[in-house]
Amino acid sequence: MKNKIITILILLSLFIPVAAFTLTGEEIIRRADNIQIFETSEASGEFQIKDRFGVKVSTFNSWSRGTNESLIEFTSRAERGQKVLRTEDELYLFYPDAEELIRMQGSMLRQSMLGSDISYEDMTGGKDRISQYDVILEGEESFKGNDCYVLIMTAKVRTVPYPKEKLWIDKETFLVWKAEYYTKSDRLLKEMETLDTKIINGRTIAVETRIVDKMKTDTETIMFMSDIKINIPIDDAMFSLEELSW
Amino acid sequence: MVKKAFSVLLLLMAAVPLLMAENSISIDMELYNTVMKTRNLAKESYWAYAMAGKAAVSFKSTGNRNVRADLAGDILYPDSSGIPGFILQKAYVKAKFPTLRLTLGKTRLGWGDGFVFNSGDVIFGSTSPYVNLTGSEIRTDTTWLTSINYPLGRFSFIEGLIVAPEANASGMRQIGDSGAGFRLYTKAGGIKIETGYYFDGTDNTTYDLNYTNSTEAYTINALHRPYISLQGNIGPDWYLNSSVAIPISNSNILESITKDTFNISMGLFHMMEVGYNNSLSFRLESVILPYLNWEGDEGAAGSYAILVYPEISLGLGSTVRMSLRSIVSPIDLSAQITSGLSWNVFEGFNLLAYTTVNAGDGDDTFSWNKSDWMPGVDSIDGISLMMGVSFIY
Repeated sequence: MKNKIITILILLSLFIPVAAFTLTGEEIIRRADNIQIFETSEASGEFQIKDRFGVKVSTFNSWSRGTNESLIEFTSRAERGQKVLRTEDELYLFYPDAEELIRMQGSMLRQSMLGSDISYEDMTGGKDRISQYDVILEGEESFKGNDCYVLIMTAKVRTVPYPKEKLWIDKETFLVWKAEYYTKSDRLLKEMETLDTKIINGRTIAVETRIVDKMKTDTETIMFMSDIKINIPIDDAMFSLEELSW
Repeated sequence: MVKKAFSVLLLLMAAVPLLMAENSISIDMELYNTVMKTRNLAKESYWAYAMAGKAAVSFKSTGNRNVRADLAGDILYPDSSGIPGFILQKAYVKAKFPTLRLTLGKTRLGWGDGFVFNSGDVIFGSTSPYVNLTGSEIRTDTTWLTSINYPLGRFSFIEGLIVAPEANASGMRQIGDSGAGFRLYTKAGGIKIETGYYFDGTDNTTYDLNYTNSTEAYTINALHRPYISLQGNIGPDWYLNSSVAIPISNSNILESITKDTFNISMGLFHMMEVGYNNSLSFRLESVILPYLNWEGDEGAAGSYAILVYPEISLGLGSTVRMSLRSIVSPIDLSAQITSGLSWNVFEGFNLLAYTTVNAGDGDDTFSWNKSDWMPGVDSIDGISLMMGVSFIY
């Protein structure tokens, strides 16, 4: 009897560490979100929007601090000099031709940048996906040789762009390698794939992503990020109206 | 001498790539085929066809982090004289010092809030109903000014300016005809608060506000123009502005002008997603001049107490945008309605189409068949159709 109990205890003890380190779907999402949040960051970006008429390129520089502050300056010819300053609950837009400073709140924060799939809110990772989605860990899969968690996120609120998302998140780096975006009735709308990554300050960061619109033929958006600098000193004045309107 | 000239030429040739590297040159061409109902000098109605458009050329400095400059002008499609027009839009230099910013030259300062109606825009005036609703920016006036912007924190600043006087009838630019003012821009309790004052020294025979109850003309030597502008969010974003023009005189007639020019503009704006990747935006603006006419009178167009601007705009993906804009005069039940379509086909290239219709008759603010048609002043007699392209390169 004594031996039996010891055997059971040994078996149980073998399982305890496994149970303790098994991540929940929410924890995986939290970690995936956290690798995108920096004390400060600076980067240059480019959107290439491809359709049957060719490629449209938009470029920008961005600076961010924490989860709530970012400044984006568009550098492509059609939008050159336009700037967007995002704070926790407001958005300031500056149009250099009109020398106009416009303050906006509410719905504008969720609008997409340059017609892309990235919202102003996304630029600083300020979104709280855990409070917006129910997360289910569906299983594990290998994607392009990377071991991934496969998660299903179902929206709890109506303010998110997609009612359902399926994500392939790297088990080691928590990078999102692939994402599928669905309607409520499970119709595939868009597919995102990470094409290239870079390790910066010990974090694996996507530097090239492709988004394919499954509702249209021959349409895709490729986003490149370059000159990424993380946790560098950025002057307080960078996130001010003075810098915005300069 | 020849050697010297050759050296200068060589130096200039060497400098060209450097100059190019220090500048960003952009040209924004807009060209339209326009068909509209109009009238000839004998005020007889006919259908006109014309090419219309402009090329906006801009040279912006890019090389110096602390100094910026822009030289920009519009080359316009030739009028009946056959000579292309030219408007100098901007010619300014801005310098950023450690504690303040200096701007000197021809440019614009955007005071107050509002897309079409903005009572806070006391420098240029943004309350007139007669505007072109086909552009992405409605008010684009610029003037020669000197301004200093002094930050009072990240989201507050104070700005002072002096506006150079225009030459009077005898060609003189008198110091008393200058403009000068200041504004304070800050935030309190989630609301943007902007307030300021502008001294308008221009000799006005009418006020820059288009409205007056009086039919007589006065010369007003100068006006005090205080204003306030607030902005916040109640679901939609809202904005509220108010200003008044107070003549520098104690005459009773001029006191009535103070009342007539008291104006309030307000607006609501909301944007929402429709389907996936589409956006729908709503804007509703109004300007109220409470001491003007609240009843429709013959010949009173332009002096009514209220105007309304509704706008609805649908963006399909990132390439197609449809809009319906209108300026409505509720007192005489007339309106100018402009529908627009733009399609961003290639990078920087858009196909554009606009239709403008005046709904109203006789001497209404907007009229299909205007009774007091002024040759050379009025252009559209009821309807115009424009189809064209824009290209930024």
